[in-house]
Amino acid sequence: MLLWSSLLPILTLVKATSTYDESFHESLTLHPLPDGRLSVLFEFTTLFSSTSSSRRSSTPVAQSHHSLTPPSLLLPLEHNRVSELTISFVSGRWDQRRTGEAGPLHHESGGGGGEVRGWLRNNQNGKPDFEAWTRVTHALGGLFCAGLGPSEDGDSVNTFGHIYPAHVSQTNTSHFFLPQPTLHLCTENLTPFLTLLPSKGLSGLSLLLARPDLVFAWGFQSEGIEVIMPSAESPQGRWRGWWEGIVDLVPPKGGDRSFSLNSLFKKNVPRAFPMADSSVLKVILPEQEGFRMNNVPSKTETKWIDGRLRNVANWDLSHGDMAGKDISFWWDGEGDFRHPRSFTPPTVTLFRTVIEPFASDGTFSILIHNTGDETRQAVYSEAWPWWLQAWTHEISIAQDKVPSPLLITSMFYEPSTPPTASITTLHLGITIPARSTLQLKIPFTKLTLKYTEHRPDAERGREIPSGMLTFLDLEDSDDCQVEVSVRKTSSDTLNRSRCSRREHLYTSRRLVDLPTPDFSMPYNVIIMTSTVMAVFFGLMHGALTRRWGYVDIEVELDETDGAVASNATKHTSSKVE
Amino acid sequence: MTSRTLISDVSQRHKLVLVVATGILLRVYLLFGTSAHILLRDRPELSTPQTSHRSLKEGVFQRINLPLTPGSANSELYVAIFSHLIPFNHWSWALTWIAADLGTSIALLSFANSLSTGASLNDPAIVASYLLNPYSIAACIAQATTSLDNLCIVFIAALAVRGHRLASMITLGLTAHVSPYVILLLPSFVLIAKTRRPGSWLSSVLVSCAAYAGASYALRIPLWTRLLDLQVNLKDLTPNSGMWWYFFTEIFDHFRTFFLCVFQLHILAYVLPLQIRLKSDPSLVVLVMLGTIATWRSYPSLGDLGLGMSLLSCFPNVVSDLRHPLFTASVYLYTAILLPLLHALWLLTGTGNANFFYAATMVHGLNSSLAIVDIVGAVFRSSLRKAAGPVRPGRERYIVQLTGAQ
Repeated sequence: MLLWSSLLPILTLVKATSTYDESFHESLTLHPLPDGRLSVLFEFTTLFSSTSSSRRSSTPVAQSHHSLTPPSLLLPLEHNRVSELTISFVSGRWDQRRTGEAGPLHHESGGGGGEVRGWLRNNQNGKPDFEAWTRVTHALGGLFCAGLGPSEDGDSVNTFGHIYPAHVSQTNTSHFFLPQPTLHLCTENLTPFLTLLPSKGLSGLSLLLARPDLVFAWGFQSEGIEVIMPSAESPQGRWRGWWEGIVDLVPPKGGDRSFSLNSLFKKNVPRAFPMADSSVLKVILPEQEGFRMNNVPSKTETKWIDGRLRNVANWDLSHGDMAGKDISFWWDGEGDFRHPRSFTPPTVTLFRTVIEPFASDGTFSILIHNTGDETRQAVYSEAWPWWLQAWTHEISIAQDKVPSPLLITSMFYEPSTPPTASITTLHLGITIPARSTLQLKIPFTKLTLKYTEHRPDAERGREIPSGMLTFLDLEDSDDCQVEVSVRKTSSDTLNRSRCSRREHLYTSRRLVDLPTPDFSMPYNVIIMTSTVMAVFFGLMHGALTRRWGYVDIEVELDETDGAVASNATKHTSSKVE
Repeated sequence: MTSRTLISDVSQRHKLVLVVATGILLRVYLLFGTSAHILLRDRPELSTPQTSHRSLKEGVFQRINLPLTPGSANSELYVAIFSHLIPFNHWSWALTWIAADLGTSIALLSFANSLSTGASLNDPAIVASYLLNPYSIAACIAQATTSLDNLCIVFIAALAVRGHRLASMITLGLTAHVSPYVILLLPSFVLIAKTRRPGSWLSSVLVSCAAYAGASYALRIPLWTRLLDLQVNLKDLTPNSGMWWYFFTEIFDHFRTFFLCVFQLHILAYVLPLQIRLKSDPSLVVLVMLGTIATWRSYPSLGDLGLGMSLLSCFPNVVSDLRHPLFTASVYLYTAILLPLLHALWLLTGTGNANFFYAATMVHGLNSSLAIVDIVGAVFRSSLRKAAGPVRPGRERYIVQLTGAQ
């Protein structure tokens, strides 16, 4: 006790200085989905600035291990002149039609598999610095126990800058995008993630996450980090890590959907992490009536989420009196949960399939449904490995099965440069009319790869990164808030698809099979083709070098059957060239 | 002129009109009346990545709409012509291909009639050998640029054999942009033109080079064009009816350059020996080399073979001295069934693997190789027959290849 009392002033001092330089915020968001499942999102945000911690060092990033920022994460970024970086791992498939939501709660989550994207300062020549990009992806791959770096030069692509604009606009930077659709989120990624956090999974909300046995039983999962490095223009840096999953609320043998922190994480509200400036539990309240909770939220706010006005209940967990409590939620009078027959779909959904899936070519069919009352402007983007090439002149778009080519407003196509590994990118500017279904068809051809270029397990096929739809017409949150106050009195359903902060919709990734050679044949093929060549050469050589001659043979006509019989003994022969 | 030859002349003319009309109507019907062109358009036997209709359309589309993209694998010359001179629709394109085939058959007739083989020519048969040749028809319906390449090559031949040295050399220079292997025919065409109208061979070669460079300059493309790079270095391994694609799919990377040299030099190796051995008639060298190129080039298609067959019909003496024409024809028939079937088994239904299609291309390639050797033999046999004079009554003449070198 004496020790504590003597440490307390020091701790408060440390906390006081750190809030000045660095601050740490954590939140846990729960979102009950209409299909009896629950979206769980952990977010850990650290704000840091370059001014104070760099007083004595040459770098703007704190290198000491008693700061809130992890040097192992920030130093590689700093050395490689990274301005912003996002890493996202996704496992499982987000089904927009079953969850009724357009995508995971965290908007920076990428499509299927892993991806790394970011802005790097250009090199001395003002060109994109590919070496630095490769270095930083390899360094972070080591940090996350995943092969994040490009497996071949040319796996990264530069044409996604306008799809993922920088949070802090800077000149002389280039965007890099490295889709890694074969990567998965796996157990090995959790420990490094927790290590990066200042609370290390020992206290605060991170304690709830430090349960790999529970976390990896979740269905869909998404993990990622987003770092905005401080610079001369904007000294405020930020790094944010998130971890998201979907939990099934209904027990396997049926039952109701009631849940509590304890039932989800096998722990009550953990003791607060002392360095956290805020620690919040948020619950996005379901739109149906009858949702109850045993603990009064500290505040309730209304927010536009994916074009719908939602009530969000907040609990401040940093209050000492919350620790050790459990917060439970249930639906009034709910017996066995019945899976609804239909959901209110998200206003815009995106779905990609391959039709005519032959080994040599096929056609991507992308279905875009807009159930909203507003015409949307968007960009549909694809990034394919180099062996997949689109036929741009055959790209077609149909609105409710009627061809309407004018809906494609612009096209950007950068073909790969075979045989070197590179990325084919396609960006299509699209107008999505209100209450319509668009079918976009992109025919493509798969090139034949060399024997040595096939990656292991070639017979199974290769993953193609997700297609993505980027909205260009999202409304400012301020405008939407004005809308709220105006319309609060009226009984209209508050559904404005443009009032959303979700910029990107992703399709699932897609396994595509390749025309494969027979991998056991190289020697046979070399030998047989060479034999045919040798036969031809030999016969030609013979025909051109040997002499020709003729033989005149006396023939006698056999009286009986008219057959020709030759008398070889009475011949004269003469040889000419 | 006796009444008998007049009658035969008139009937010949009728036959010629009939053959031309049949060939044209057949193409018009297949291109406009059926969906055969959609079926054949992507057949790998008929069109390679650099000659396919689909990629030409892609190139034209990108040149017009997406000027920043590097365009398709087709020759820039074709892309430029089809972007600026021919409207971008099925009708104009299909009519272009029909006109090209008609042009090829006329040029072929003109070439055959200017040859001094001494044999009596059967004009309708020569025209039929191109206009009614299944390979040429298929290439035309697939609208592969092979048909246009063929027109260029026959046009060069017709110009050369009629003594239009300058025109033929300029055409050859331009054709090198669309079908680089035509360079191997340069010595033959120079010699053919020289026998008709004496002149320096060097000036002919220079005119050709100037035409090539001029076209490069006009199109603002490098002299080492993308098409040339693709065909020399085999950068696209899409299956075709040739001998290269599977070999270079399977070859180990460190041997690749070596075997690329071997395969390219293999074709080059025949130019000089044929030129020396057949110096009496360089037009026969064109025939043999066309066959060799059609079989051993990096991206062959059946349309190339169609041209070789048509050219063969211009030399009736050679045809009559072939040893195994029936065998060759029946194996071609066999592979015409086998190639699409095994390709579908591998890539469409997924029940076979690449070896199936490779086996079919092997049979096809071997048959072509044997046919070329047969033609070379027939050339010597017919020339020997001509040199030896008539056979005495009661005797029959056998022409044999002797052991021992010349």
